[in-house]
Amino acid sequence: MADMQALREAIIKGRRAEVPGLVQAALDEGANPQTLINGHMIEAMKEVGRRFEQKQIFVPEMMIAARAMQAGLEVLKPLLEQAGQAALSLGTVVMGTVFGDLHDIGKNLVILMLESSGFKVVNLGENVPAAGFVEAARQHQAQLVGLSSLLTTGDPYVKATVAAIKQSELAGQVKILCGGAALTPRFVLEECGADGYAPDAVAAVRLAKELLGLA
Amino acid sequence: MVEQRTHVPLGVGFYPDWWHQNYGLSFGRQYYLDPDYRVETQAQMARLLHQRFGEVGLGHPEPRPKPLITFGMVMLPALLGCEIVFEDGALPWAMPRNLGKEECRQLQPPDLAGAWPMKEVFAQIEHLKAKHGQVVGDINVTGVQNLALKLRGDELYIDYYEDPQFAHGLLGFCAQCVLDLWRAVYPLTGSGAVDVTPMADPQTYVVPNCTVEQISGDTYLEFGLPYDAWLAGRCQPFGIHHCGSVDPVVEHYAKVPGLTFMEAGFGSDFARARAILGPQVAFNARISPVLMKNGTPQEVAAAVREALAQGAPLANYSIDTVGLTFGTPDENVRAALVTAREHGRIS
Repeated sequence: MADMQALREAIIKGRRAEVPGLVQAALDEGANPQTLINGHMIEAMKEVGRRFEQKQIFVPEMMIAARAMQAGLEVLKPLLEQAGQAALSLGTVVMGTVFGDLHDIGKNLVILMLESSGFKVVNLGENVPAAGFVEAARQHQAQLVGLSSLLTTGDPYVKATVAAIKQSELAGQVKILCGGAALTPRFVLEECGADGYAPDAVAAVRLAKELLGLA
Repeated sequence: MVEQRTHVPLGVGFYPDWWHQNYGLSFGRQYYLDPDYRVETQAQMARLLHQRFGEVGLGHPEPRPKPLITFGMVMLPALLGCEIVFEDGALPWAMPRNLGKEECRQLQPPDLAGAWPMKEVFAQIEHLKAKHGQVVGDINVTGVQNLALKLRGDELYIDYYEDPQFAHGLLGFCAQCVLDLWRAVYPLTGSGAVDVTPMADPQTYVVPNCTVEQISGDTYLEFGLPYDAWLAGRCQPFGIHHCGSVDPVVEHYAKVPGLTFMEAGFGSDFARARAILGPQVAFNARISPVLMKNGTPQEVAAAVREALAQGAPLANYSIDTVGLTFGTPDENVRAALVTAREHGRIS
């Protein structure tokens, strides 16, 4: 019988090389791909998030777990596509670091976690002007826009980006989620009028699901 | 003779955008490459600070020229091929190269004497010494893991688990670059701390460990401590700047031989860190720039009082509020300074 506990453990510990074999073994024994994803692999990533929030693990451990998850998804994708299903289809997020800020690690970590949790993410990079977020959200028909800001110098650009989205035809169609060391809930939610504030990558995934009614 | 302190010093440092947006001062390419422009800008900064905060002791009405050497945190990344982005209202930033493993293995130690921008800095040192008789400051050495991340990108963190031997090779290369830069600059300036933090004894070799807050204590033990210890064995007195909470790694920092200075970010348990490191290690505690910008003067004062309460012994303790950006209320700056003066008496 396929060892689901071993699969979960391999993802949690980030043992990327083991995951495809464990997924294949489960498939060989007749496991349903969607059940594997939703019932086991995403649950493993939730455990990774819990450990990160409790400071039991740090950025490298989050990254290797997310990579292990993605290695497993690569095995499942062709099967799901054959069956006419998306591997994971929670929605599309456009994500970037706001104008004036060139930091990338926090934003990249959020992207890894979102992708591992079932979102399609368009990475806009760093130093992204407000119009860049609006255009990308429009082009990719995003459901969610993610803004990252490490420096308090980014505050006016967070505000301007939220305003630009709300003044566009996207208003009401996309949710706006902001995070990063410089930001506070009061600034993001009350002053900027964004839909959510995420203090870290795990919270970003949780809030993304909540904002899109998927939680 | 060492000056005896009566109060815990509290440093205030404004981010370039504060100067740029308030007064139009620019910290772009010219600031780093034109030493005369930089000296004049420094004098303007001192005068403006005195006009605005003179009553709480900042700035000077008639400052003496400060023949400063600085290159932000980007000298080694620049020498190793990273694109450097200069902005009028920001510190210079090195874009990560995201090199592949083979490209990393091919990296060669930079030509400090002949390559941009170090060649220009050597010329600046000569120019400033000829004009002012001295130089102040030094060149920030970036830090071992910080530099490795600039070269390899986030993949370095994957390497820690999947190819530790490669990671050690890259970290060792970066440590050698740090050492080479210190050895080239320190004899000319006599300092190794100023470009990282103004709160350390300038003669200390301070290594910036800005990204160590992203890794666990165990990871630091394997991939950080060997290189910090290696540098400390060659550069004394030795200090560490740590962004964010120092709590997960402070027990390992205590193993760095001859550590004389520690700078810890907000969110740290300063009392615990002091207890672990020992009273002989000078300690600088940082107040959050987010609190300084968004908090009330009462909240700022409370944070300073709390940092003071955690700081004993106070004789070699300091606090600073670095990275204050445009929009930081003046009252919060005054509240921090006044609180340190009123509550930071060293008995």
